[in-house]
Amino acid sequence: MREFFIESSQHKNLMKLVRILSDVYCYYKRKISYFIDSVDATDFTQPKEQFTIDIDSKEYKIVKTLRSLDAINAALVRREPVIIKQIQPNYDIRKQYAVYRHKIKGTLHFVHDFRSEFEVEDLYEQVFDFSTYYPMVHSGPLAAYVLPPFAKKGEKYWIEDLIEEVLDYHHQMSTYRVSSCLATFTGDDLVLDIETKNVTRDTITHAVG
Amino acid sequence: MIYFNQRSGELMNNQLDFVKQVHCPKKVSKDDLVSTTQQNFLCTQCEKTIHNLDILDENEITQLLKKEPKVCVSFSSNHPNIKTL
Repeated sequence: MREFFIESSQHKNLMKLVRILSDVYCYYKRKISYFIDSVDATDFTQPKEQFTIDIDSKEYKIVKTLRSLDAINAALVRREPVIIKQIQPNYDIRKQYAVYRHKIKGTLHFVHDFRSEFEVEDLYEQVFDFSTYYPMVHSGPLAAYVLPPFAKKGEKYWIEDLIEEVLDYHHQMSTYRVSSCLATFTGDDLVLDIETKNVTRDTITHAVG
Repeated sequence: MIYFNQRSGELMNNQLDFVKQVHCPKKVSKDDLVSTTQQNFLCTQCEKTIHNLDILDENEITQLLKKEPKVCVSFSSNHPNIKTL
């Protein structure tokens, strides 16, 4: 009987310990999940933050974009109206990142926002300070726009995924491309209806006040 | 390091405490400033002296804003001691 009580009290202590560990785990899990939200550890492809012009795109017919040779050839075989473009990378498009290491697990994570570093410094240590890279990944040198059937000269269309790498705005050290815009069909090409902002690698803004 | 929140226009110290609100009611830009001395500009709109933070280091900026919190300032986004958030 005495042994039973000793075992029981040990069991209670063990359960208490498990509860405390569980609370600690939940606390850090919340912190980790917040951190993971602010980073995209595997994202070395297209930037997720993309800007679209504030316009009702549903009013316009859509121009689709094909980014692989197989898809372009398939469209050509189907006799779809396509406009083939050469991809011209714009290296002024850049995404900022810093690399952090989890102090316990040793895993590496990207942080894309200056503000995140204050949230993570107790669990993560910085490996590389903030820098930038060209984030676009192309499957080949060609891409193509697929026009809607019976496209009319002078008509406006909505390009969902712009092949031309046009800069739009910058935030912190990152610059973002225009991902979608209106374009006018001239009969053999699409003329983009966007006002390209002058954002370059050397852009410096001034604050006065 | 001094931090500048571009959206709210707040300058913060390295503890992220509020230091100064960077806001011009007349929406003056860098082009509206006339260089008077190496350190200062003159505002063409209201003829006030505008301190050029680009030539000051972190301590000098902190001291200036502590002494005169309502002073007009100008700085660029590539300032080595001011990180734009």
